[in-house]
Amino acid sequence: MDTLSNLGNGFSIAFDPTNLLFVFIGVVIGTAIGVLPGLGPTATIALLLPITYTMDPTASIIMLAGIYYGSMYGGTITSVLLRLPGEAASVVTTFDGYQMTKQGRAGTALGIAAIGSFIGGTVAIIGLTFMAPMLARIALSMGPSAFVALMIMGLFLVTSLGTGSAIKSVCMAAVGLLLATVGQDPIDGSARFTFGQVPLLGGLDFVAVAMGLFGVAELIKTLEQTEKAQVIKTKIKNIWPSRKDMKDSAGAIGRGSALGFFIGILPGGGGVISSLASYATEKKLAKDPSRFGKGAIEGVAGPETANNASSSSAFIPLLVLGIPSNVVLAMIFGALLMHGITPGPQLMTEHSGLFWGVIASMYVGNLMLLILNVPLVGVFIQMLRVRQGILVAFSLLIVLIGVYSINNSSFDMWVVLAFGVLGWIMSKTGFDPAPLVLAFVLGPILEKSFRQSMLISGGSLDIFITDPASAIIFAVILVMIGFKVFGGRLKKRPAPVLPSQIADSTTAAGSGDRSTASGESQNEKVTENTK
Amino acid sequence: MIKKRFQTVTAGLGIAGIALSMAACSSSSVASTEDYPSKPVTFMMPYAAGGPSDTTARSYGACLGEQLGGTFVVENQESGAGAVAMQKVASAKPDGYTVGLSTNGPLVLNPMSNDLSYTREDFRALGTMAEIPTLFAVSKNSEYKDIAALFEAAKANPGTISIGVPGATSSLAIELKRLQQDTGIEFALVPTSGSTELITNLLGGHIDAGFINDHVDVESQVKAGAIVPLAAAGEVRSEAYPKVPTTIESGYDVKTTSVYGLFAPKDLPEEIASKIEAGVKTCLTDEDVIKQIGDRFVPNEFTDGADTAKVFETMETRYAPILSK
Amino acid sequence: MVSSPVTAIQDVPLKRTDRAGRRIAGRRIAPLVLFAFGVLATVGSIRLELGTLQHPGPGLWPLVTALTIVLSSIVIIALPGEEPLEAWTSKSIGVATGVASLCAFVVLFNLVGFFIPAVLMMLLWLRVYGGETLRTTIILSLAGPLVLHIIFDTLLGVPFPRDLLLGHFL
Repeated sequence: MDTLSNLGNGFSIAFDPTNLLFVFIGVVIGTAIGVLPGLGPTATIALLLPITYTMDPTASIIMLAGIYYGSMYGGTITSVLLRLPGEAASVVTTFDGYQMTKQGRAGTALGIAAIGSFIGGTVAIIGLTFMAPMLARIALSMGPSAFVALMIMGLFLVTSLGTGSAIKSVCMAAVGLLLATVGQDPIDGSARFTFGQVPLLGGLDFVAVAMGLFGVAELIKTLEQTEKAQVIKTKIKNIWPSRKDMKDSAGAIGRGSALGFFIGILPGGGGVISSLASYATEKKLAKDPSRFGKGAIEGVAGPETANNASSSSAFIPLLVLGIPSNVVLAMIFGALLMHGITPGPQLMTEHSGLFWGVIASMYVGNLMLLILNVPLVGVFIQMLRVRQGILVAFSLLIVLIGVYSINNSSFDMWVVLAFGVLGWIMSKTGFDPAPLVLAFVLGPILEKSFRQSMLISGGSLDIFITDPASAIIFAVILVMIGFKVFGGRLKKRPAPVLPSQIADSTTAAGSGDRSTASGESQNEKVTENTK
Repeated sequence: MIKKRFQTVTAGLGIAGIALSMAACSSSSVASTEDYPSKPVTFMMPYAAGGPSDTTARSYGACLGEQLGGTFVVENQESGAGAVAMQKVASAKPDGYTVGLSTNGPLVLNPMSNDLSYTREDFRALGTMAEIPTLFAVSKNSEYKDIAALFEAAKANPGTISIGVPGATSSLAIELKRLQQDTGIEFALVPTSGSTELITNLLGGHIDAGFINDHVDVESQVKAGAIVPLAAAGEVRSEAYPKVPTTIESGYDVKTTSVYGLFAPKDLPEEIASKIEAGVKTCLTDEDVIKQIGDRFVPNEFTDGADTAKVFETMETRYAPILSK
Repeated sequence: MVSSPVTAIQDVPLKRTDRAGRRIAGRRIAPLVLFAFGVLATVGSIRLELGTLQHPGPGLWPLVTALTIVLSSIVIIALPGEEPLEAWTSKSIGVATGVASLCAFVVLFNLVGFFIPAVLMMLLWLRVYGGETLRTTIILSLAGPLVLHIIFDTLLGVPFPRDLLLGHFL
């Protein structure tokens, strides 16, 4: 096997002591920056780029890649512990991850996320190793019309996932879409809703919006709590996922790996969509969907796995075609250019050592992350033992300077504060920030792609049917809607029945292979479902 | 590290004045022109890290630091489509400790189409650091084998030939709009979020053609045979594809080049300006600069500040009829 | 809807003292604000160029989103829902003062750099809001900002505004 001998060659490069050291440095930095809210992989890699110019190209890419996938797990930590999502995909993790923290199960959440991340990442790299060239073609088949379809699917998931009322989710998603239009119009460049504020020309920054609505809102809320309310530190139950937790999550991790791998190949927005899709799948397949949003372990395991799998498969378009599918990969692309290497179709043949070395290093890096994070879970949850006042003060300070570091601009500090207040008011009035934040990410891609499609087709909507990729996705959306209507009926009909019958009806609505999805011993909860 | 960054917080706070006076007091270091640079120089970058402009800023930052005996600290600030970074350079003290890279978009086009507090005239140009030419390209399966076929098709069927441009406000988009207005050739202009998205759409066959920066990312696709260049947009042929004609040769008046110039606030003392200009000139031949930016993007001959400014002035007059606030 | 479980769990024995009528009216304030926001955004979108569905202008997409806000907020006004909400208490004012202190931090940050406002903010949040002892407060208020300054500015090279105090040392 050609691939195997190449991979073997790659491993000999990855196991070179210097390279091994840089994998390690990369994943450690990646994990560390995940814990500093606001300082995502983009900022960190930007700051480290100048250093890499002096390094060997393979070593520098190995390190930067390590930072990238390391930070994917690192971002989980603050999402779970403090409800501070540093990137779009982690927003989904906060749904159940933060709830688990509230229930004293932070260790379980972080542990399962570490395991899921490892499995998802590894599955994706195996896919990357053996199927990359074939799958890269799929990425190319996705034109603007297909992205319209994909984003509509994303928005459909966003509004149907919320834990609150559907109409409120729709309203909040619309607010998110509207806020995302602030800045320069993507097609004709004119300024929209900028009110003469120059920093707004580039639009509101996602990290500032998300940190504000989730993190700052939660932090300032502590000011109106009574002493008794400081519950987090009092109960840290188990530090490690139990056998039952593992069993509950196995299916979610398996499906998350597949979803994340395939959706992650698509340039732009792959990460968010894959976590959303995974969450939706788990909720759909769960025996008791009402647990979701209240600390369901599958709600953490699935999206986290998908997120990491997609961050690994996002390397496929870059390595095979020279197309970086997100900002971080664009920076890795830039780093390669600085070394006089142009990522492109020739990379695999002209720089075979680098290509396979980086891939092999990703296997190693993922294993290192697992080994590193298992003991670290214990360390990170100690953070919750810190008295709340201290935790809140430090978190706020770090969030403020973290968002400052995104654009080196204090404007973003105002944005994060404004959205913090908004998020607090929203929680007081029963509105969920998640649809807003997720729609904020998906909206601009939808608008731009729709208008591009209209320009390409000369204003004909037929393009959405004649383009096979978009036709397929639209068909999937129709099936999903049908499922929702059909599935809903099935669940409503047997209202006052025995738990076993409920289980039967969900099996009929679900896809059948959900036996591993949730434990069998949860029948006591099913009664809740019948309400 | 000593850095000077002061921003007026928000209008209506009424303390901007205090801020400025404190700025003057706190940056107490006496910067005489002879020992420039005696402290780190802030090198503003109106784009995010990772792109060709960033590479240019960082290579020149390192080289200028060596030449002048100081440090140039690159500060990326893409906020406000580059306007925030430009504003910062324009309003900085003209002491040589704040310089910035700029190009058509942030320097000329953005102030022309939006209400900004600066214009091209608020800057002192200090030379051209790099130039990225542009070209028309199609995918390998395209029915258009040369530039004439593409343009004639657009003429025959107005608005049906889709052509991608990297960004709605890029000079490439504006140049094509100008062409459409002047000649009546009408394309379906499809702005993408950048070169990457454009290349993807070209490779996937979602657009008929692309008008794109002639950078290494396109070059690697051309080498692989996936993309075919039709014409270099300008008067000189691309160094990478000497056999491909230019638009001017083919009889179409389309030309644009992304010029990466170095700028400082307009009242920069002549002594410091000439020091930096000399530094840029030396850096053009620096091995690392050439290796990092790419030989064909680093100009062979030095374009000084005055001539660099003229390039942008020409651009402004050329696009004034199309862009209005 | 449980967006913050701590308080939600806490408030399970809901205060039933409020008169039902007042509670329902209170629930309509937020959607009314959203409705007004949607109407303003609708006007703003129309002022931008709308174009047509075939040839959308800059205003069309914002208009679609603004109308969605208007319509959905009308539905919410009509059916405000009955799920338990967190009550506004006298302590809610504490949040306002806390936010004001953060705003002051940002203003000062631009004027005198990171260190001084960070120390002041930590003093306030640790001592007054956190109820820490004076000793802990002082130690953490000085050490915390110093460490963060070193991490972000010195090590990571994030360009903070010139620091009035630390600028002379670091």
